[in-house]
Amino acid sequence: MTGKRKWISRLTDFIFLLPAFVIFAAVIAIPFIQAVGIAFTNWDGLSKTYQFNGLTNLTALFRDAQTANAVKNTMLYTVITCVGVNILALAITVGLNSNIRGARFLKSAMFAPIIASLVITAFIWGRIYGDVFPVNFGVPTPLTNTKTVVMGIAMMCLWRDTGLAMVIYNAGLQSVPEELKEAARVDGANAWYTFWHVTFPMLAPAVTTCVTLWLGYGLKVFDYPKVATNGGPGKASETFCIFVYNHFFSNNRAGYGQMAALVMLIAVVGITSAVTKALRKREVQM
Amino acid sequence: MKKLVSLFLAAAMVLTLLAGCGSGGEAPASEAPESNAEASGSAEAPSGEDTSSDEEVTLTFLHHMGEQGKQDGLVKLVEAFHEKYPNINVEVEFLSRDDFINQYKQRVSADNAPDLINYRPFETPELIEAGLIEPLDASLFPEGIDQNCIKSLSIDGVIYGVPLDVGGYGFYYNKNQLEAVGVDPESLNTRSGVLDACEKLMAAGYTPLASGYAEQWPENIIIEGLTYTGILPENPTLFTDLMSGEKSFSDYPEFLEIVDYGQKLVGTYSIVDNKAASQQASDQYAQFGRGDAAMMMQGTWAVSDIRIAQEAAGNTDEFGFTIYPWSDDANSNYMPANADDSFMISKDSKHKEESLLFAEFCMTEEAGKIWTNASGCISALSGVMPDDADPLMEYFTATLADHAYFFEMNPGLAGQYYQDFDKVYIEGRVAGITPEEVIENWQSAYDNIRATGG
Amino acid sequence: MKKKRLRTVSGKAPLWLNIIMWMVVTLFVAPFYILIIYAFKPREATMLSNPLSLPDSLYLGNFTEAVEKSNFFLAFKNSLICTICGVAILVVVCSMAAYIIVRRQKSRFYAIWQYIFLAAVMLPFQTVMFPIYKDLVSLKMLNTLPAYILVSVGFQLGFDIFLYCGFIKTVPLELEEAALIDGCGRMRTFWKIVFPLLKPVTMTVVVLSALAIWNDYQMALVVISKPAVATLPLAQQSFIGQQISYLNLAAAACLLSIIPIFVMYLFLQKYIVKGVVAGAVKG
Repeated sequence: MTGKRKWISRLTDFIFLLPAFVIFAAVIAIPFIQAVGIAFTNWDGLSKTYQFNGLTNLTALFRDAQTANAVKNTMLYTVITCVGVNILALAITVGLNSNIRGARFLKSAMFAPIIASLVITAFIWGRIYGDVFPVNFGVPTPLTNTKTVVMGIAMMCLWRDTGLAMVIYNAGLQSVPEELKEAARVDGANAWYTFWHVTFPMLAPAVTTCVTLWLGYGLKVFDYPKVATNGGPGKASETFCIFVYNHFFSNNRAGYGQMAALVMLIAVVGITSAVTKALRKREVQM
Repeated sequence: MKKLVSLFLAAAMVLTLLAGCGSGGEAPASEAPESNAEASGSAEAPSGEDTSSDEEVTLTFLHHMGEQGKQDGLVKLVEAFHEKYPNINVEVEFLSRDDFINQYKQRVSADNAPDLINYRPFETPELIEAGLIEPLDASLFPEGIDQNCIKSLSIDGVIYGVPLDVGGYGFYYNKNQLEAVGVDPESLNTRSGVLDACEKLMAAGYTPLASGYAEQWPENIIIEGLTYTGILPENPTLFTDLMSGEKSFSDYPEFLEIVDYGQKLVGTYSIVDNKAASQQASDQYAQFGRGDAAMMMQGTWAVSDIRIAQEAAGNTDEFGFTIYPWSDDANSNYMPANADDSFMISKDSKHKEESLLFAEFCMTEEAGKIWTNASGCISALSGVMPDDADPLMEYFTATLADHAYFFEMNPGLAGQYYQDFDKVYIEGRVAGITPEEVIENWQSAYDNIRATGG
Repeated sequence: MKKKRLRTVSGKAPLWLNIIMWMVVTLFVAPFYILIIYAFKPREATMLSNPLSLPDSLYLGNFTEAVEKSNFFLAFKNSLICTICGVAILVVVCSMAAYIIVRRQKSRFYAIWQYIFLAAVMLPFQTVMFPIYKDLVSLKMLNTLPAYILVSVGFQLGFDIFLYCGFIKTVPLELEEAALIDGCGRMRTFWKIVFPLLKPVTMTVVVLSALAIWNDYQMALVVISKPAVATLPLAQQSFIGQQISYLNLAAAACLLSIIPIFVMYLFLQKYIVKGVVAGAVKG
């Protein structure tokens, strides 16, 4: 009797998970397993037949001189956006939460870029870099220079994503008890001291969340460089995801591209979980 | 709490309603024939493809033509064709050029190839190698068509492409500005003539060349055009030799001159002030049209957009067009020309006969007229001129007739080799490295592709 | 009451901070100016060399032309269906999954799922792009809205479960325990007691998921490329691609597509701030 009951209760529990499980399996798990299969073949993306070629793709990937370039661009972009988005979002959030006139309006306005789709972001920044920079500021567009192009693309991301990170920081900041800050102030601490020793430690979980998210977004970035420069000039803004995408079909090396994608996934999950772990540890210490 | 539950219920109701009308409304009139065709297509395949002519058939034409004129042209072509063969519809589907080849290959490998694709054999030899393209019979083409143009759509003597128009690239120039600095347009027929003109223009405070090099293709056509007219005619197997590794870039000393020349044109004479360093090809058209630059390296297709910018700015300067000289010997300089907008027929097409009928129709004078009128492009059929031709059209056709080289009659670069050829060059120009270094980088990029099994 | 008093004590921010904050925010909003002025200029004016100048008059022709040529209303309808269905499915599926994952945390089976879904957030679409396409073709589901809804839900799933999990951890157990004792089934308890408590985070999920689906381009390109089923970003990108030298039309089309999501954003933006309070942050 109790055994039967237990089973029924277990079944209801599983029903809660079932829809998510089914969708996950259909959209992500099964295609992913199929993708792993392709990674160990020499499929060109066109032919009807292909052969299993073991680890050839993997070794070739590490020999490929282009891999380093893609990794370098991805890392640069990730560092700029992850650091930039977080510092900007944190600073603006704290600023807007210190009794600014019209703070509510300003907050809403700050979130506005989130609603711009990628197509729109590309259009707007195409004109900013193409027209406003040279004509109004007398600065050439960063997108045509190999040294500045990643920075230029990262700017687009900063513009659009800062608001999103602010959403999370804002929430974190509101969970800081006013009393704590007040206590510090009464003790004669200046605003700077209060921020570093009272507010910031309370924000640590939000920092962990945001850093992890933008680390992941940065490492797998595809859209921004795709629409802004298509990886150019030359390959100066070719990120790892673009590298994968190009190999898949443009370069007729689907098997190779799939292997690169697989390696990238392992790297992304590895790096983000390592960083999260380290941040969580620090959180506790604070 | 009650409010919330009812809110959620309301949302769910709206949802089911919408989903209902969604699945009902999902097949509007425009889609109906298509699903119809898909069904008939799959039903037909096993029964041996006996396409009786009164069955409703829909062909898919996948293309990447960005210009409004060409889009209108396609619609008009399809309409005229449908009038002739009321049972055949052609569904025109656009994909931006950036996504085009990826999407196309994805469709092919999932057994979902479009019937007609807007590509030339030269651009995608791998499709022909993989046996995806239907070979065409020479009898499909009328006699008046330029044989070199047909050759440029063939591989190993077999024709694969159907040309809608022909075009080429060269220098547009502003006669008034050239005159003002004392340059005779005739002198633009040699390399040193061009460089000399640029120098004079710059000294007099003009911007010699319009820019637009944030997009890759306007610069691709410079380095490609120089290679196609400078090296390829003497070495027809240039690209296959480079890809196989049989020859290296340093075996062709002309590359040094070409790279140096290309770098000067874009690096020195196009970006002389920040105003000229803007983004896209459309900015380039506008710059030249306004009179902000004295010359522009562009294709014959750009003429109508230039005119619009010219009119908008109230610019009354007179424009001319000349070929794009790679050397100082005027006699060995040609305009790189190709059958710019062409299409091929998929071998796996379920409606091959109908696709061939469409190809045949495009080769009639009627279709040629429709296309050239709407697109403003030069018809591939000789003698077919648009009703109100741009004054520059005369130059175009004259140059195409006696000073053009249809480079696509030779085998081209495939896949990554093609991508890297342009990318390495552009990266080098942007970084300001020497032509020797560019040639080294080209070679190491090609070696790398071979070494990693590409 | 006490809180309010303390706030007033902490005082107004100094003038310089006010000025800086206003300037920073202006900087972030300013780029929209470009979109707006281009949308109101006739084509000829966009070809002149003073890009930032205000249009001479409010030219509305771009909008009518963009609506006509880009098949706007059809794409709009498709976008609306996909976004509403996708968001509704996400709310139901993710809240349920997150609830059981949190409440049965001690079971290893459920604990692992939290990490699996989190890993899915990090999965680049390119890794599974081709298999998805091929599967959809063999299921004859390519170019159908249900397929697109399913795929976009699949890729948003991980993030939404992550948000829900964080929030549910802070929901006290007492209420549902009482209900369970009263003989309510777990499912009933969840929908009657727990789900209403999740309102703030649900609203956040609604807004963020709606933005993600409404603005998605990558997946749409692969799953629904035919004009009859294309969503707004797709129709727009192809429209812009087809009008490479018509910046005015492109801007008008972009501006039109932003309006509905902007309205939703205006109504729901307070929840974006509130909802995540305990959600993502106390992970």
